[in-house]
Amino acid sequence: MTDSLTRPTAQAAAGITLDEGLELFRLMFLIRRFEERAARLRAAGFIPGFLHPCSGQEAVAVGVAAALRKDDVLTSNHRGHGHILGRGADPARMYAELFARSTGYNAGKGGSLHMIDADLGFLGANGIVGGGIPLATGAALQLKRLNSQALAVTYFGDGASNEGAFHESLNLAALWQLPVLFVCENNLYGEFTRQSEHMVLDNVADRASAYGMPGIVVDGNDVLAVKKVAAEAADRARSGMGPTLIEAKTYRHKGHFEGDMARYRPKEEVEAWMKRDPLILFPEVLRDELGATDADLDRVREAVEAKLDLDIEWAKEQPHPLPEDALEHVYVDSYNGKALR
Amino acid sequence: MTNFTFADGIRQAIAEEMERDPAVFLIGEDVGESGGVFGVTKGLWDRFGKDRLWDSPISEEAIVGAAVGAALVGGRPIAEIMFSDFSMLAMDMIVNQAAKTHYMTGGRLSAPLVVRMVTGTNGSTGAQHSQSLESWFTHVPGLKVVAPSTPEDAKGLLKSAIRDPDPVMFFEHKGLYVGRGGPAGEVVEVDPIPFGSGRIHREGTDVTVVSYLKTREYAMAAAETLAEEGVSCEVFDPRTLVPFDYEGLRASLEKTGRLLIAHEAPARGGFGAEIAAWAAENCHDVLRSPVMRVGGQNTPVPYAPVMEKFVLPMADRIAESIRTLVLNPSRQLQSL
Amino acid sequence: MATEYPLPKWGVTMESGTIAEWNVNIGDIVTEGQVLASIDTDKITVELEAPVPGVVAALLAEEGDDVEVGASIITIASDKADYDSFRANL
Repeated sequence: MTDSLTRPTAQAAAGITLDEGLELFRLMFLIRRFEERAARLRAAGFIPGFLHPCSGQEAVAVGVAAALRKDDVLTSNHRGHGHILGRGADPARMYAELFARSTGYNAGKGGSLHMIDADLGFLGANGIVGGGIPLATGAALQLKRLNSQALAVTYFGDGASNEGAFHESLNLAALWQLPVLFVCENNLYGEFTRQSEHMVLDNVADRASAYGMPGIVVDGNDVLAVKKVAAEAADRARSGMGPTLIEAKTYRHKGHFEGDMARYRPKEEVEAWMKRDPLILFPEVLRDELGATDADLDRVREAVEAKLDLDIEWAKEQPHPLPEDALEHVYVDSYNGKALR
Repeated sequence: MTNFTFADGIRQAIAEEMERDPAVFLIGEDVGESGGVFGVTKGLWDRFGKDRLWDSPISEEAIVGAAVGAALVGGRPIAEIMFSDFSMLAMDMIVNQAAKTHYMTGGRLSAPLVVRMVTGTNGSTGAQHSQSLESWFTHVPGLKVVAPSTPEDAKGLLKSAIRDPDPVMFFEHKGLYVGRGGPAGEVVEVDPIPFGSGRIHREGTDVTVVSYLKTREYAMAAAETLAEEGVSCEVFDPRTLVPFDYEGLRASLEKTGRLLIAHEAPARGGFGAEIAAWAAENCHDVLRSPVMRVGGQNTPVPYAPVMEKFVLPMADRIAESIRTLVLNPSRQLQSL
Repeated sequence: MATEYPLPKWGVTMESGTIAEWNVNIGDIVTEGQVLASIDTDKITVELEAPVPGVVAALLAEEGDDVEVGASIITIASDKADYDSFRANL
C-alpha cells in the first residue's frame, strides 16, 4: 500500500462542521446497511435478480456527491446502489424496485442494474461495463451547449477502463473541454480478474494524460480526500477547463456479485483492506478532529436503521405490476401501438 | 422539382429543424466545416456554426453515445454515421442504451435522438461500405426505422424523425444522393410526414410490389416493363419499416391478391421476410398466390461491377420475379 | 428463532461442497430429516437433511455455488409465526 493511503490528517477535516461530517457518515452507513439488508432480503426470496454490492466503497460515492450541485447529472454502473444513495435517493423506492414492484423507481422494469432517480439527475445504473461513460460525456456536451454551470459525473471501475467506450469518451471530452468527471473506483479487480492481470499500468489515472486531461489518484476510502479532489475537478469543469479523470483506490468487501465467494482474492489482502474500512476510518476522524461522541454516532446509526425498517416495510407492501404492463414504455409514441407490431 | 435532390431534402430538413428548435444539433465525422463527405450538410456551417455542427473524431461509439447522453438531458441530437456499416462500432449505444432507456426506466427517461446512416451501394463501394442492415434495427424493440426513397419523403420524414420522442434510425441510400446537390437547390416546402404511412408510387391490380430505398426505383422500372406485357403492378413504398403501414399494405393486397417484396439487403433475414410472414398470417384470405421476396444474393457486396450487378436485385431480376409470381406461381418459389 | 444452518463436514478431507440442487423453496414446511438439497463433494453426492423441523426462511447459497464446510447455507424458522417474524424483520 502506498503512502497516499494513510490516515487522513486534521487538514483534511478542515472546512467541514461536525454536522456536515455526521451527514457524510450517515450516508456511508446508510449505503452499508442498505446493501447488507438487501442481501438478506434476496436470500429470503424478495429480490429476483442479481445484486452487485458496493460495501467498502461507500466513501467514493459519498465524497463525490458532496461536491456536486442540484443541476449536475450522474451515470453509474452495475455496482450503483451507493452512487444513487450518495446522491440522495430514497431507499424505499429502491427496495420497491429491487422487489420488482410497480412503484419502484423504474416501475419494476429495470431492477438493480438500471436504477434511476430522474429528479436527482441520476440518469441510471448500467448493465453494460463502460456503458455509462459515453452517456455522461454526451450529457456534459448538452450542458455545455446550454451554457449552464452544471456538470456530468460517471462512475465506473478499473475493468471498464479497458473498454473502447472509455477511451473514445475521454478523447472526446478532452477535445471539446466537456464538463465531465470520470470517476474510476479502482477496487483492484475487474470481475474475477486482478488489475495486474487486465492492464499493464498501476494507475488508471495515468491514462488521462494520453487524452490530454488531468488524472488524479486519491484514497477512495477517505471520504474527505475524495470530496476535496472532486470539488477541485468540479470547479475546473464549471469554469470551462474541461474534464478530469479521478481514480479512487478502494476495495469491495464482498465478491463481484452477491454470492460470489471471491476466492480469487488473497486472505491477507482482504484483511488489510477491511482494516481500512471507511466506516472505521471516518468515525476516527469525526471523534479525533471534530469532537464527535459515541452517542452522536449511535444516534446516526439508530436513525438509519429505523428509517430502513420503515422503508423495507413500505416496499414489501407495494403492488406487483400486471403482466401486461410489460407492453408499456417501449416507445414514448408508439403511433397508437403501430410501432409495437 | 428539377433542382431539389435527396441531399437537398436532408439538408433542408436539418436546417429548418435547427431554426425551429435550438436543442437540435448534429454530431458526426466531417459534417461541419467540410459539409459532409457526400456534401449533404454543405452550407449549414455558415448558417449555424460550431454550436450546432460538431465535427467529431472517428469514434462511432462515442458519437452515438454522446448523442444518447445529450438526448437524456434535453438535447435533440442528430448523430451521423458516415456509412451504415460503421454502425457496428456503435451497436451497444444504439441497442443496449438508446433503444432500451425509456423501457428500462419505466418511462421516466427517453432518448429522442436520430441516427442518420448512409446505406447501400453506389457502384463498387466494396463489402464494408455497401451493406443494407436496416432489418437488424427493426429487430430491436424501442427503435424506429425510416427508409425514404424520394427527396420529399427524405425531408418530411427527417423532420418527423427529429421531432420524434423516440430513437430513430434513419437510412439514406447513397445511390439516391444523385447530383451532389447544394444550398442552391430549390427550397421545397414539405411538412413532417407521419411514420407508418406508406406511399403508392404506381397503382395496379395484379400484384403489390413492396419496395423501399433505392430498390424502389428498380421496382418502378420493372413495373414499366411488365405493363408492356399486360401485367399491372402496384408499387407500394412503406417509407418507414417501424412503424410499418400494415393497413396500407392490406388495402393494396385486397386489390391485387399478390405480394412481392423487393429490397437490396440480402434476402435471408431481410425485412422482406418479416413482411412476408405478416402477410401469410394476416392476409391469407385475400392472397391468391404464395408470397415472394427478391433480395440481394446472400453474399457480401463484391467490388467488381459485373458481380455487384449480379448480387443486387435490379429491374431485371425484379421483373423476372413478378413474371414468375403472376404467370407461373405453381413453380417452386425461392426468394431469388 | 429462525436459525442458520451450515454445510456439514461429511468426510475427513472434505473442505467444500457444491449445491447441485435445492429440493425445497422458501416457505416450505419441512420435517426433521427431510431432504433439503443435493450437495456434490469431491467423492460423492450427499443429500443434506433438515436438522430440525420448521419452515424454510432463506436460501443462503444458489445452485452451482461452491460453499465451504461450516458456511451457513440455509435459514430455518421454527414455525409459521417465527417465519413471518423473520421476514418482517429483514
